[in-house]
Amino acid sequence: MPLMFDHVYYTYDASSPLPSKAIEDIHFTLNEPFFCGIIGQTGSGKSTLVQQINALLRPTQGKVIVGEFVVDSSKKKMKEIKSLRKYAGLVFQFAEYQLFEETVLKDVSFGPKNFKENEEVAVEKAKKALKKVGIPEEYFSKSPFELSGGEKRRVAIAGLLAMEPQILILDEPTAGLDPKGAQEILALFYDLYQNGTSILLITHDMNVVLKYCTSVMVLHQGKLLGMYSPLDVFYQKELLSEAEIDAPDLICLVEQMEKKGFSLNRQNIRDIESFVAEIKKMKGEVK
Amino acid sequence: MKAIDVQHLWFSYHQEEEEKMILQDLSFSCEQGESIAFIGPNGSGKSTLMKLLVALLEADKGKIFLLDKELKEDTVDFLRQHIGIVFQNPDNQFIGATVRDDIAFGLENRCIPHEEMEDIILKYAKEVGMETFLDKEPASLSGGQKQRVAIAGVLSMHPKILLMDEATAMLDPKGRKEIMALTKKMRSENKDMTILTVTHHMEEALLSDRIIVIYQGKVYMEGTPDEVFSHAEELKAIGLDLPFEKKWKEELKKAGFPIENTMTDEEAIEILCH
Ligand SMILES: Nc1ncnc2c1ncn2[C@@H]1O[C@H](COP(=O)(O)OP(=O)(O)OP(=O)(O)O)[C@@H](O)[C@H]1O
Ligand SMILES: Nc1ncnc2c1ncn2[C@@H]1O[C@H](COP(=O)(O)OP(=O)(O)OP(=O)(O)O)[C@@H](O)[C@H]1O
Ligand SMILES: [Mg+2]
Ligand SMILES: [Mg+2]
Repeated sequence: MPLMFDHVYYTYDASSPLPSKAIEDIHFTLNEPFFCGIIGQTGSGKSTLVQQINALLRPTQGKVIVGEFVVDSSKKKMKEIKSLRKYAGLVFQFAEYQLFEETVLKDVSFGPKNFKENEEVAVEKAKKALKKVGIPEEYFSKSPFELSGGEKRRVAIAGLLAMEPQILILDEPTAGLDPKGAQEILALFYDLYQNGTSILLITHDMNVVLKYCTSVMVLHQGKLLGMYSPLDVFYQKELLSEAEIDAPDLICLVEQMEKKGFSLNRQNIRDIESFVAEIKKMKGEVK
Repeated sequence: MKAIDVQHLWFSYHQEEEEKMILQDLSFSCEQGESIAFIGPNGSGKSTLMKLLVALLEADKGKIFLLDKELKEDTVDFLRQHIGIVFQNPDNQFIGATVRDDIAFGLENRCIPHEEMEDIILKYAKEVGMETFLDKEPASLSGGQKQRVAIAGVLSMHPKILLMDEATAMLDPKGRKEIMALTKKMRSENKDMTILTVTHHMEEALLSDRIIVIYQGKVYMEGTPDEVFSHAEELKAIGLDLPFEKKWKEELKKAGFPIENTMTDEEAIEILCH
């Protein structure tokens, strides 16, 4: 099924004397399953855009089609809001705002329970999700507010995983995670994607986009500059400079080597491992 | 003069319970003018340590000296004049109704005369690229904008000791570099400004004078960036990693190329050419 934005605009405080336009005329279609990145400078509208999908914010103009749901500018309360939020679940940029229960386990099992799973199944799903994000059992009875920043983010992500949404929307999911945690959680998303779940990922880490994303949206000052394949964006200097984004370190390295006369197969290089493999292959051929 | 001297610190959040200690006999010190990066896995105690340094939490055992004075009830007000902290979540530090008021609030607390205040506010808002947002509510900013404002607020007070707890986590790499350049500039103008940065970005740690690795509430390793990052396997084992510019060299070395992670990019590429 597609995720479609049909000329979506959103303005904060639209009826106040100081309205603030956050996104303008966003128009695109993504066919499920996708692993799509959203990149753009601070304030370019990324968080605003994704909140239209599960109706945390309703478009000021235009509409969003999410599976069988339609989110439009109507002020009426959507009666299918609960099913929509099960279909497309979101982890906030400041994930701790999502936590509210007395204990970590209750917090993560809230989602499945809320969607009519019986207690036992819900708790099972919660435990499984917590394990996946690296939260050990001795934390299950702790208050989610008495956790470190990275632990809170892991619990919030577990809460989303336990709900088993069809589309996972992740607003900077690796901010605050230690390097190993970040890698593991991204691998987890990738695994879900390969099993048919769609991933929409906001990130400032261009290396992540290069490694995992099959497509990437570039936002600039509230407008969508386009939807591309990661390799197309990162080797296009004009586009990057228009969007005020730096290329990933890996791309800069490849370009540096190309200047020295190396001819590397750009298509094959998505992370350090594939870079090393490519160098080995090249050197092997020379010998 | 030592900016910070922490001696045998022990801390737990719930003393009454038989809970594991969060900080366990943690000691370190730093000279005025130094920049130190703290790295460590999630839950290792970095933020807890920062909160102890600004007396938001109180140690169970051990001593903290700031600027040669022991941190105690009767010195805390004085010492707070000289220490500034940017939290992991900027919402935890906004007080003002607008960005302008928020920066002004900190300045008022430091008894800056009103006529100077507007200039200072504008200067720091500009430094972080937020000068067009002065009349906005902090709550209505994007994640990265909030972090920029929080940083401006603390820098405008010219603290002698600056603590940044993942203060740039929501910024893009460009924004992060700009903030690092800004603190570097402030440090060069003011040689005795000390900066402690808590970060999960190894690239950021690479730029500090010294790195302290925290693991399970203890100092696990300590040294210059080159020293610390020469222990790739130990760092990996506790959930950390090398910064990109060292990591690719390390991986090539593992693959059998005569490359070291301390080489410059040019040196390493030169070797690959042959
Ligand atoms: N609650 C709000 N009220 C008014 N304006 C807002 C609100 N939230 C965001 N904005 C404004 O809308 C614009 C887009 O913000 P958004 O949070 O979508 O950016 P972003 O791309 O997610 O940025 P970041 O990378 O910093 O998180 C920004 O200029 C911001 O100041
Ligand atoms: N308010 C609190 N009450 C009880 N325990 C807490 C509280 N805050 C943190 N902890 C626990 O103390 C330990 C250290 O937390 P701290 O926030 O210092 O970690 P950190 O190194 O900053 O981690 P992160 O990289 O995730 O921010 C963690 O195990 C955490 O669960
Ligand atoms: Mg955002
Ligand atoms: Mg922390």
